[in-house]
Amino acid sequence: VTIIDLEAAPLREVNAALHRLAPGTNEPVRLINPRGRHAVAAGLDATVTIEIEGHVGYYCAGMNKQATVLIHGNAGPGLGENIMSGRVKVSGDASQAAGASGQGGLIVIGGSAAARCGISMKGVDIVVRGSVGHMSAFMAQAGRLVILGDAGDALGDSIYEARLYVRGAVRSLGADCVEKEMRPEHKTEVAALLKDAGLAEEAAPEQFHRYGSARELYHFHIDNVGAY
Amino acid sequence: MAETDRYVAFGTEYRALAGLPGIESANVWEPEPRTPYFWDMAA
Repeated sequence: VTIIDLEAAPLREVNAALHRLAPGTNEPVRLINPRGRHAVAAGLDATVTIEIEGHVGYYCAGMNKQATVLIHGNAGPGLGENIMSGRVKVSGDASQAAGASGQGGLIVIGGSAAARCGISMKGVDIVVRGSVGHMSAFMAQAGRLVILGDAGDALGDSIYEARLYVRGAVRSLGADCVEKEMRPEHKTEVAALLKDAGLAEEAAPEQFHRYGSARELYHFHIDNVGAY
Repeated sequence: MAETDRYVAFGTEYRALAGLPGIESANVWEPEPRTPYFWDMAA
């Protein structure tokens, strides 16, 4: 394990060093004393595991490819934004816009996520052990969002084809987001995601409700002009 | 928000609170929108 103290080493140099890691690197790296710094371990593109001991600030593990980033603490806004592949796991809470625009990979949030979790998600899978705030999955296009707790106001507003699974209560659904039937393939999908997130013991697929697009808004229809 | 036995602090991000004494063991959380919170001082 390589241990890097972010109080001693400039973050820009640490991230540059992480970017230089060769494909197939498997020496784990541990970053200590992040103290809310921004863009910690952003832009990685190697099959390395990075452990971060403490709270991180904005855009941690943004644009991640291949790497596994484990955060022992909380994450600020934009955790794993634009993630392409790999996995990002935070033990505590994540602030707004976790997984925003993510194209692939998996984000696991051990606590709760704030507003706009999974906004404009385009293929990423996000599993939240706690609850999510308002406007989560806003304009979500693809991927799966699994919430073991509750969802705030306007879940899935203007959603396209992402699939949302919520175990708890949904305070309100956004425009064009509706509850849908939980068919066997959806239970299988939730079970696989829970297992992947290491939460298979904590919830059963039967406990979830599925939400998705009513597909009334995203094709232009003159009768809906007031809702656009 | 950061809460300890000695203080309640708030900042736009954790970075702004990172220098506070005892922050390592503080309860750090994000307040809900449209929700007032109250604290009182015991004596």
